[in-house]
Amino acid sequence: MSQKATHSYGSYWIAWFILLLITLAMLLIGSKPILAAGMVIKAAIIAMFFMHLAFEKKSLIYTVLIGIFATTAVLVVLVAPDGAAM
Amino acid sequence: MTEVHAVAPDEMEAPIFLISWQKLMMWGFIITDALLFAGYLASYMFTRLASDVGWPAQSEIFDMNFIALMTFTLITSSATMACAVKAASEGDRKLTRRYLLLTILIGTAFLGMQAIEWSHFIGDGARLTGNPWGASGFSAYFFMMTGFHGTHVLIGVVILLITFLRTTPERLIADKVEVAGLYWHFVDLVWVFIFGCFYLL
Repeated sequence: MSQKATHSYGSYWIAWFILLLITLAMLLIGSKPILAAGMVIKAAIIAMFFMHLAFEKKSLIYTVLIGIFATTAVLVVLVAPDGAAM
Repeated sequence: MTEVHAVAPDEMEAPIFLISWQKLMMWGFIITDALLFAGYLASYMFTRLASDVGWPAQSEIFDMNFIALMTFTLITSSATMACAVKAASEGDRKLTRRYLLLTILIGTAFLGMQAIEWSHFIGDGARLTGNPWGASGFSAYFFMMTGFHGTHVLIGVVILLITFLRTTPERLIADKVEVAGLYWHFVDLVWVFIFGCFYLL
């Protein structure tokens, strides 16, 4: 079976604290680059540590990442900006 | 008659993902569900960019401190859920149940705040078809996106409640707790994007 990640409870609360700090930065600064970076970093922390994705087999990591990112990229980069041309 | 080969265990092909099928199914569901929300967010951005009337300023309509509190609540519930999965993997029933119950309570608190948020918004005159502040898509997307997310949270609370009840003093199903945890973290992950794209952008 998959390798059991040897996390301590403390490491989850460290992740929680970092998530809070990023949320605060997004709230207080709120510029577009900060928001975009903040969302991506928060999502990465949740997926990698809370969902243990970082410790799964590479095949699963790539399946999830390519599945979500490829389609999201098409929607957000190719489709959504067309709204400005309407 | 065709020959039947007995396959020795070491000759068998290793499973591609090395995880239980339940967990693999949950990941499959998460990928497709993520695409559902990606579709919403993309169509939201499209509508916002294409809108002829100005987009309302969110910070003048929503109480941002309250939204921040909701975000804090959901992130905290994700952390307690991670602890529940950890406790379950170590076979600690009592601690698993404690963390599961904590997660359920915090998740329910989030749902309550969502309800307060909706009643304020509706009380201010927002409807699915329009709102007093400008572009009609603003309230339509608010109800659709937070509504779908809230439904996910509600389903998550039900799943956690079932997991909690099934984790009796006699048995602990670490796998089930882990799969329920995956779903719960995913709901938190979706909120990250709703919070960033809808409330802050």
